[in-house]
Amino acid sequence: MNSIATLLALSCLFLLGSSRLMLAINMIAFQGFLIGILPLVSGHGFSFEVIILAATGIIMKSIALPQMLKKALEKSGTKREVEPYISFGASILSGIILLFISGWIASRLTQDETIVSSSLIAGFFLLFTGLFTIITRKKALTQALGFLVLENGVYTAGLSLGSEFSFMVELGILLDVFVGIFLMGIMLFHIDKEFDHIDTDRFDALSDLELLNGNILNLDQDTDEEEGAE
Amino acid sequence: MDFFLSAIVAIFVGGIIALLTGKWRGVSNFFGAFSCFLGTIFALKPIYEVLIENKTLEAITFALPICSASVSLDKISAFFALPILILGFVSAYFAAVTVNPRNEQHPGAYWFFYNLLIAGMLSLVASSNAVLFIMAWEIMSVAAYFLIAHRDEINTARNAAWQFLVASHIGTTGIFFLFAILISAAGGYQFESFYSAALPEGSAAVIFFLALFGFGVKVGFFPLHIWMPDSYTFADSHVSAVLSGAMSKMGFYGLIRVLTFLPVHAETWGWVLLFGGLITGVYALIIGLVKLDLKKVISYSSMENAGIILMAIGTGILANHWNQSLIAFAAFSGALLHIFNHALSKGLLFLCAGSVYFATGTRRQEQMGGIGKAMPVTATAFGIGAAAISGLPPFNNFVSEFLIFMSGLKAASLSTPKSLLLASAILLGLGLIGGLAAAMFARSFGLVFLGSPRTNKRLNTKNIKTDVNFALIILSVAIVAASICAPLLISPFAGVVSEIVKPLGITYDPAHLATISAPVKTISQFSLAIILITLIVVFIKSKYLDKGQRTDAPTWDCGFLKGTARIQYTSSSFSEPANEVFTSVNRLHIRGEKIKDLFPAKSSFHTETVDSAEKHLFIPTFSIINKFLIMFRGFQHGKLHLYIFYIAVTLLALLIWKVVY
Repeated sequence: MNSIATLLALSCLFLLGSSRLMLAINMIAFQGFLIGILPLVSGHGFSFEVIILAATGIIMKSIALPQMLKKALEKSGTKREVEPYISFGASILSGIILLFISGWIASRLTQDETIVSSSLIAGFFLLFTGLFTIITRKKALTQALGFLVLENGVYTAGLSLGSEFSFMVELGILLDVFVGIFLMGIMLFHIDKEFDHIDTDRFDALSDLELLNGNILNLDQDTDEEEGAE
Repeated sequence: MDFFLSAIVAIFVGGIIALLTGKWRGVSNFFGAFSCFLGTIFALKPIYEVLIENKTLEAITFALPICSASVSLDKISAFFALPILILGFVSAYFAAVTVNPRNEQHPGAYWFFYNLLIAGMLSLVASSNAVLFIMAWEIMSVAAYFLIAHRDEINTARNAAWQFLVASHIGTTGIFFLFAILISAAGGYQFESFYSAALPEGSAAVIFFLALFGFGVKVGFFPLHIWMPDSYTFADSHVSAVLSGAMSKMGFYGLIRVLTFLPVHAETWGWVLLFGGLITGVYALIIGLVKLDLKKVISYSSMENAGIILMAIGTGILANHWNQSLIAFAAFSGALLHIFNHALSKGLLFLCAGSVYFATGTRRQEQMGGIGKAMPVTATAFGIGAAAISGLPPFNNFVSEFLIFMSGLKAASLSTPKSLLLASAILLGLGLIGGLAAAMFARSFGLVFLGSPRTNKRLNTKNIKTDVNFALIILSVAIVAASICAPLLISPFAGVVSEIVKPLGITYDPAHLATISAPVKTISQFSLAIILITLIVVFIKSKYLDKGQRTDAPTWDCGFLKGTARIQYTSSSFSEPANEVFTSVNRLHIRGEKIKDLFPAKSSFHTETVDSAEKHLFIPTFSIINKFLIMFRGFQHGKLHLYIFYIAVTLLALLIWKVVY
């Protein structure tokens, strides 16, 4: 249990520090595998439902989704995340700070402070890392990865917090994530086709802000030039 | 009550069917208009029962999410439903025969919002519950917005609708607050509980001024009127007729309704209404007198009449305060009668303007002229409406203004300093307003219908459908009937007045009704005589005198050799003397060169006015607000990363806040 949580945290730090997208996807696949075996070791026993959940999780998160993302990567022709808003070194440092915050929050959340669940810390850390990735990276693909990490975090935190283990709910969430990533893959493809790039910081070219700024105060329309309205 | 509710439902459902059948223009038209006809005629029955037969209808209660709400129809509601029904009927007819068959793209949506507006207004007057009232108020405003914005391909129409929406929502905040105060004091949402509410010290005044603000937006109380001219101008004519004739009356309904909740009316309120109304009326006419657009002129006249009605209500409050029941009775009756009369004549004028627009394709008075010959019915109807709305003798508005005058004269006879101030405000104010209104409509009538056409554009008489005239004739006949039957109208309206003052603990002496009906009777006999004589003269003229040879010849042309239609009096030249006097208010912009030499070269002349309240009050205010709000514009930059960053920061902050406490 502890070792899985540690591996998860390490994979996150690795993700924050790497610029190669292919490597990041592989790391996500590895993370998916770790998340997949988490229900098996979290003390819920080896019931049929747990095994099914673990199997679906592994298949989906470490095989299907990474494959899809790899395909999108090949089609878009990008290899690296260039010039993120926060550099890779600084990202790792922020990651460590986030890890501390996660530890602190987890310790405050658990009533009995002697046993702080390591997987809860890992869950929060995954969540923060996911958000951090979405915010600071520019390629749309990395953002999809960030979303996946975020979701992994929610899953892990839920698993370590929830006393009731709900099989159907977890499966439902898995389906949601699958559809979400699937749509993101399709959109990535189309964005790349239309814009020749997948840099999200350039998406605001379509913003209507300029238009609004020019037109904010247009009260003086007492012109009778346009005949209208009968 | 069942009848009234089923009428509302019929109108609403008709609108929905019209929306669904929007593809087939004829079907959609039929359902939209027919449900309006049916609903308005059905709803007349309960109103007749309440107003004439003095029945009390049983309230119907049903459950709302927060509370149970009830609808009922007392005399005040029934009175204010009258303009809605009359104009709802006539305008639906006008819309069915003119606008929709022409080239309207969305008859379905159009009918839907029109019926929604009528149904909303009817449920507004019927609701006797604060929540229901606000809901109906909101439905009414939103439906009106969509009707104004119907021609959204025109930039100015879009802006007008936008302005209307902003203005009416700013007003609605006032209404929300006043009901919040009332509800917290009364501990219930029903109107009955408001009558016995123990209001804290000073909150009655707050409620009154919030009501004046909230409902003042709808009636066009200076300076809350700025949305009004544009919205009425850019909406279709029959919509303007409903907006001005019925929807703006809902503002008065709200004001009067709120006044009944307040146990004591302070003297100050009366003065505020009196002088506020006076300023509203005079200001509207000064600006309206220089406007070039026909419908804008008519819109400003709406505002002017709102001023007169507010003055009358203010007089009533003052007189109640001084225990002068006769003056109060005359003033309130005058106010109610004027509300009714104004709805008729304003509806007629807007429909005439619409009819003229079909023929000429323009609303600019400078480009019209000589339409009277081609469209005699429209010209006559416009003449009747214009004379009525200016308060000229044979017509109904004269009667209502006379009642208000009468209250002023009686006040003068009290000869206390305050009553003399009141009397002078009414007598001088109404005199000035009447004179200016007559000038304004003489100008419009002359420019549009008399003379010869000012542009070479030929009058497109093909567009004029004779069916349209039927709507104009209905309203003209209604005006004439209301003038002749004024004494008959006064007694049911007196019942409404006694309902208004009942919560104050005042009952009027029944003899007052006889006192004020006596002169009104004389007036209506006199009106009948004038109308009959006019009809006889017209008949004789058409029968015996019109048979001679007729030629068109130029009038005296001031030494110009070849006089063309362009040297006729223009609207600017007509209103020039008045402008000279009021230039400090209307701030007329004149551009052009003066002719200097003996042999004048080419020169030009151009005038334009902007509503001073808009230019010097609202535009500066809103630009200050804008300057403040523009600081927050930076938060909306279109950068996805930062948007997600906001979410992340909020989440983190909430999480930390939760675990710390």
